[in-house]
Amino acid sequence: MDFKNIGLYTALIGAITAIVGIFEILFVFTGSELWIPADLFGGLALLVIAAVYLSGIGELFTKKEEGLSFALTGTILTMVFGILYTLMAGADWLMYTLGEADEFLIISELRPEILISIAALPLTIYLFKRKSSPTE
Amino acid sequence: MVDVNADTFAEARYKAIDHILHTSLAGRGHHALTTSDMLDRVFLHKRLGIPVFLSLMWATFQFAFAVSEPFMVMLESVFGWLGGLFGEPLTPLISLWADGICGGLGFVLVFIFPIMFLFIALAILEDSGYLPRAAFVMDRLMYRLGLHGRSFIPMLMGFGCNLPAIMATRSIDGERDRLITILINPLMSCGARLPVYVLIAGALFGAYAGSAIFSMYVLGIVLAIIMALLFRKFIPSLRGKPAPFIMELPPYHRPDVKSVLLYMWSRAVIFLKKAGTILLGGALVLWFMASFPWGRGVESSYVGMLGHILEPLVSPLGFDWMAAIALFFGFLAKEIVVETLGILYGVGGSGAITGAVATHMTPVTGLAFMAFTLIYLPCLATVGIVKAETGSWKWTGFMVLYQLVLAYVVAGIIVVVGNFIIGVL
Repeated sequence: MDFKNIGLYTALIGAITAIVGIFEILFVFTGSELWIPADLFGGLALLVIAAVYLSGIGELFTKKEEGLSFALTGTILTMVFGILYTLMAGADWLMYTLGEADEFLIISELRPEILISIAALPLTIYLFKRKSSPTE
Repeated sequence: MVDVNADTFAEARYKAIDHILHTSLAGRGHHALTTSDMLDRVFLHKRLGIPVFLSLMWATFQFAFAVSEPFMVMLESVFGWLGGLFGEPLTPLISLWADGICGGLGFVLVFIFPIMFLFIALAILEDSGYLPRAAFVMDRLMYRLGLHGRSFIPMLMGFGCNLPAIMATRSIDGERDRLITILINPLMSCGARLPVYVLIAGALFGAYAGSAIFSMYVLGIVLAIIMALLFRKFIPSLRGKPAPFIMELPPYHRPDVKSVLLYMWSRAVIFLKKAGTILLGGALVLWFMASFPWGRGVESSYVGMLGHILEPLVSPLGFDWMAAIALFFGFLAKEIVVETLGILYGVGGSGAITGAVATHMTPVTGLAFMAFTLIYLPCLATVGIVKAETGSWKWTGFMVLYQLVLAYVVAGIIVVVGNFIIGVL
């Protein structure tokens, strides 16, 4: 994968993250029955991750290695939040089995952050496997 | 005498290191970016650094609260079952077991899980090498505000316990900088306050409980920075420019599972030791005060009498006499706030403590109560260590006084603004 392709991938993940983050914040004020939850702090965290991704695309499109820093850190943050919400879904399932929650719906537990982390997984694996190469 | 600026000294030192590296490492014309370099470009970024830090801290508290919840419920059920072993608490001995030991001490022990989960997350952040970066990033902001950057390391340590954090201020060179750091350190939310937040936020904020807890930690940091700024500006003996902050950042590495678990376990053991000593003693005293004179009800008990005397002090904030008593005994150790509420609601006949909290507090008063618990006084041991480290009753007394006033002001603002917002909505 060359810098331009990584840049495109990063821009796409960053844009999706930003859009979901904006909706999560907006829905706090407007209310929504959509699958995207209303979550102010969660939305703000997504905007921060999106800013990390998008800050590096300029350098990646001009084939500067430094741009990888933002892609790498963005994927790490995406993974942190993806794992966090997966663990929270597990905790909700435990609460349900303990009789402390009325229902456990996979669709509401499958937060966008989890799906974004799955979408970012190939990039994460690639960036972690990639050896630093000054000539690329 | 030549006055050598620490910045200049550090710069010259790194220039020398760079020169040695360039002359000794042959064939490395282009410096390839290492993983540490890449991560530092973002984690130490002048605009992204602080938002990334806040996002990670928010994730930490979400993890500590939400993921530990089912384990707390399980342990709570065990104590509920144990408390009901001997039937209704109609005699003093059964009441001591059900309301004092299981309802009080047992209720506090339930909070070992959020404490363990919080320290797992903090240990991962520390072991990976990120936490020193957080101090570095905050230094930029703090120095701009005229504060000492090194202060942030004891402040971060204060998330665990204020005692070692205050002792860690010995690493700060300037006496003024050190004193300011000591005075603001109790505003950092230690692990002992976490059970209070978990109880109140869990009862009143539902899905936003993690965010409510996170807001208390941010409030602590913000207040600490504001107070440090005010002290430097208005207290003549604390005036002056902060000394420059130079720190070497450790390389990033994958957190070691064993060291993370050991760190978490060491914090859990501290909590368990506290539970076996001061919290057990507190539970016995509180149960006695809440149950006697026997058969007259908690309102007319010794603790009820004391609570009604204290109530006028906190009633403007919307707190009742039970909250007043909890805060009063919380001076011994912050976990006792939760223990007190457990015993009072238990002796008072409330089955589910969280349900009782929801009937005694609104979300606004709950948030104000959390903020008050954060700010009003450090625990007795912290007051002792402040006296030992400052060597001054004057500064210790000043710290206690400013925190009490600040707690009242902040809780008051939360109540007024919160009720106004609710009124508008």
